[in-house]
Parts: sequence; C-alpha cells; structure tokens
Amino acid sequence: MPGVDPWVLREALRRSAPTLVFYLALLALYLAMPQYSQFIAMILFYAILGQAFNIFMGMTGYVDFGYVAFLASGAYAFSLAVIALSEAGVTGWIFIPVGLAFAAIVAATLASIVGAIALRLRGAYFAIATIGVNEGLRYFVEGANLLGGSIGLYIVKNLKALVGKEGYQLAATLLADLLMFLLAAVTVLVTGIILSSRLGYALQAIREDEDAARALGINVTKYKVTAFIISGMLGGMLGALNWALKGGVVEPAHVFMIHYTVEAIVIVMLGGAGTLLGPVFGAITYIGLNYVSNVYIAPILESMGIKATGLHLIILAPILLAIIIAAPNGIVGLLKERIKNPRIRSFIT
Amino acid sequence: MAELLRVEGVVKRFGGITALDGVSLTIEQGELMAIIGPNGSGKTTLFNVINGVLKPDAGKIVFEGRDITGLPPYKRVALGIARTFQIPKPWPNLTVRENVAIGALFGRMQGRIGAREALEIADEILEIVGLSGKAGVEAGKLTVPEKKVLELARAIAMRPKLLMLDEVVAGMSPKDADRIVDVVKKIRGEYNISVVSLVEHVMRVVTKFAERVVVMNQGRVIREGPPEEVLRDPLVQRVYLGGAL
Repeated sequence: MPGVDPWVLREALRRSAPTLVFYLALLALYLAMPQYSQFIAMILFYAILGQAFNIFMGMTGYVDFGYVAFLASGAYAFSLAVIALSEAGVTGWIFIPVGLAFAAIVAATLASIVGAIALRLRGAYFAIATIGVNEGLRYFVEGANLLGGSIGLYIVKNLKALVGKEGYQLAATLLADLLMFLLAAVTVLVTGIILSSRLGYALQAIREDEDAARALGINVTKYKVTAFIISGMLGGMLGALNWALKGGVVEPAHVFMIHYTVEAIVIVMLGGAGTLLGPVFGAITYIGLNYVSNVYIAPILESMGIKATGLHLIILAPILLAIIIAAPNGIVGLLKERIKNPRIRSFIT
Repeated sequence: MAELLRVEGVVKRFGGITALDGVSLTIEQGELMAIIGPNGSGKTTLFNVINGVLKPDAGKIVFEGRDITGLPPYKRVALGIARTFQIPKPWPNLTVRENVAIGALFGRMQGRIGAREALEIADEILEIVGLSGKAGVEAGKLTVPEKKVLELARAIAMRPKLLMLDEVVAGMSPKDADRIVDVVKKIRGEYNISVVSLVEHVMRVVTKFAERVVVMNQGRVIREGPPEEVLRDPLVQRVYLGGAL
C-alpha cells in the first residue's frame, strides 16, 4: 500500500495473524463440511459485521445505533449497479467489482454526511441521532416509493442475465461465500493497520478520554469521521455481498432492521471491543448461544405448552448480561487477564 | 529574552461570573514561571483559554507574534503549546509507553513522525523522567504521583515550546514534588522550553522552581515579580491569609 510505513504493515500483520488463522480454519471447515456450510457462512457474516462495526464502535466507544443503514445502502447500491449493467446489455463477472466499488462509495458517502453532522454530538445524543438516520432512511425509501419502495429490489433475473443461470447459482452460493471470506480478511487487515498507525492511537485516546485527547492536540472530529467512513464502507460491502449477491433481494423492512445493529453491539461487547480477535469470538459465542437456545431449549419449552417463538431472546439476554458483567472487556479481555505467559499473550490481539 | 506568549486583556465570563477580568501577561522564551492564586482566582480558566479549550469573550492570545485566539486546541499543540491536567488524565487502558507515544504523534511533530518513531521517542522520555520500568503497564494502574509524572512525560513528548503544568505537585509528598521539579528543570535545560506552572498552595515549590511569579486573584493579575519579593508582598499575603497580616 502506498504511503503506509512498512513498519506499520509488519505490526498490522503481527496483530492480524491470529485472527486471520481463525478465518482460515473457518474456511477449511466450510470447504470440508458442505452440510454445515450455511451455518459457517452465518458465523462469517456476524464475524464480519462485528469486525467492521468494531472499527468505529470498538475503537472510539461511540455506539452507532444506525449502523445497519450502511449495510442497507451497500446492498441497494450493489443491486442498482447490477440492474444498470444488465439493462445496458453488459454480460460477465465485471458486475462484482463494479457493484462492490459502488456499494463502498455509496456507503462511504452516507457515512461522511452522517458523520460530519452526528459526530459533533457525544454519547447518548449521537446514538439517538443515528437511530433517527436509519429509521428516517427506511421510511423515506418506503414513503417516497424510491428504489422499489416498500417492496424493494429483486435482482435475481438481472444476475441471471449477466452471468447465465449456472453462473448465478455459483455466484449466490460458493462465490458469494468466498468473497465474504476475502472481505473478512480485508476487514481484519484494515483493523490491524489502523491499530498500528496514527489513526488507531488517536481513536483509542478518544475512547479513553476525549477531553484529554482534544486538549493534547488530537483533531477528534477528523479521526472519528475517518473511522466512521472506513467502518461504514466495509459494512456497505458486507450488505452488498450477503444480501444483494447472495440473497438476490433487498427489502427495506429487512435491510434496515435495527436488530442487526443490536447484534453487532452484542458481538463486539461479548468478544472484546477494540480488539481483533474479539468480533470472531463474539460471533461464535453469540451464534452458538442462539443455536443452543433455538435447538435445545425452545423445544423443551414448547413441550411444556409454551409457544417459543422469539423466546430464545429472553433466554439469551440473561446469559449475555452475565457474560458482560463477568467479563466487561469481553472474552479477549478475560483471556488477557488470565494468561500470564507473555508469548501466548502476544497472540491475543 | 524574546517573548514567546502574550495574553492581552483576556476576559472570560461564565454566565454572571467573570472568571477572567482583563488578564494581560507575557511569557519569555525559556522562562520558568509560576502563576499562583487562591482557589477560584481564574488560573485554570486562563490555562484553558491559552490552550484553546475555552474561547475568551474579549482579548487575544499571541504566540510567537501570531494571533492564535481563534485556533482550535490541536492547531495550538502543533505550534508548540502543551499542557498537563490538575487531575491526571492518562488514557487508562493504554500502556504508559503508548500514552507517551500518542503525545509525540500529535504534538509539534504532528504529521512528521509515524507510530514507530513515536514509540522510540516515548522510550527516550520515559528514561528521562524515570518511568521506564513501567513502560508496559496500563496507565490506569499507576499511583497518583506516577500518573503525574506520566502526564509530564506525555507533555514533554509533544516537544512543546511552552509547557503548561496545572497543579503538578498538588497533594504530593515533598519527595515526589521535588522529583517532579527536578524533572521539569532538567527538561527545560535540555529542550529550552518555557514552563508555566499553576500552583495554589505549595509555596516551597514556587520558590524552588520559578524565576518569576504572577499572582492572580478574582480573575485579575495583582502582582508579578521574583518569587521572594512577591511572596513577601503584603497584598499577596492578605489574599492568601485573609487580611490577618
């Protein structure tokens, strides 16, 4: 990368390596056990969601309750690119880089507009403003009947026009998942580079004490907005891959769902905010707990005559509360406290 | 000596309270100066105005001949104004080394050094202030005197021309206070920076440390001069002791 100090790159690689190994292991499992591939893909989605969200929330301590709007904007942008290309008579795989680039640009534009305004607010005010942005965008799309209004965009036939029926089958399954693995690696490396460079130090100083950071010469708004844009761009590409390419459908009621933002918060807190391994651990734990409550606990309740739809959330909440109380710095924080051996400790990044 | 900073007729009001009521003073290059005054005399407000955290209602701040009244804090830091806080504000979950490195990264060297150089500078300065042994420790785990030394190290790492110390020895044992004074004098000699220190009560330190003392009371400068002279002044004694003398 031009302009990046080689020392920073080496540092970034050192920090990222343990997390990259995790993703490689996940990829191996994905390829070796096709019967579980969609379960693994789900973990992957949540890990990237946490990882991308972490760049802003984990490093600055600001909670963006409207984060899912970046995924949504990326999914819409990708779909629009697909529709435009197929209607222009273009064929072939060029739609993937074009769509992803457009998704990143649109999400980054949204992030710079929202960030420049909302990041002047602090704490709860920022959180509330961002909820407003997400809900506002959703109702604007639905109400103004833009981009397919409340029905959304269906791009399956456009994808088929671009790469044929078999090409589409490949794109929506293996290719989409492999691109997600690639996005995961990129997100981890970007996080590693940020943590090893000026930006990361500035963000951590802001998280720890923003007043001190400001008084000690850090242009806090500039760095917060930068992190917000990077985090939003990665989120936009995730939305494009997981919803538009893989799902073939972008519905406002789904892609603006605040549920995803809340899950991202839970995953980052659970795993360890501001760390590299945290979102991976967080995603695995969260999906694991979800699975246990859906597959094992819910049927027991149902056999007792209790309708269990959504009940897993009630089971999950106290478990999550307990973990967050017992380990306020997440799983990574807990490991750092417990493991004294400096060699092993240096791998917990 | 050449003038480094000039404060001209600065007024700062908070609602009905006038915290600074037309303060003017100058700081020379390489000077060790103390600003003293009882609680509420406006010392910290003056610091915040010089530092850029607060905007004055009237008056101006001139640094190296340039009017900086409208500049945000980070631009003033880039020009060479650094400070410490009365209640230390280290970044608690970052290591001592990282705390100092951030000072270097965003200080006067801003944009000219990378993270690696900043960490090297941090090691160098921790050596000077005698905190090397704690470099890898999280700053939140330090004792209060150690946190004060860390604040000082972080400010020095910013390579300031003007270093502003807010109650750097308040509440410390005489031994710790002497250690800080020694460190400040050492770095002043090494880097030729001006140091302004706010002191409320520890007069022993004022005489030991300062070449010139400015006394504030109720938002005004009431006396200035060499420490021995100023501290013997009847008006100054009345301000501190409530008119008994």
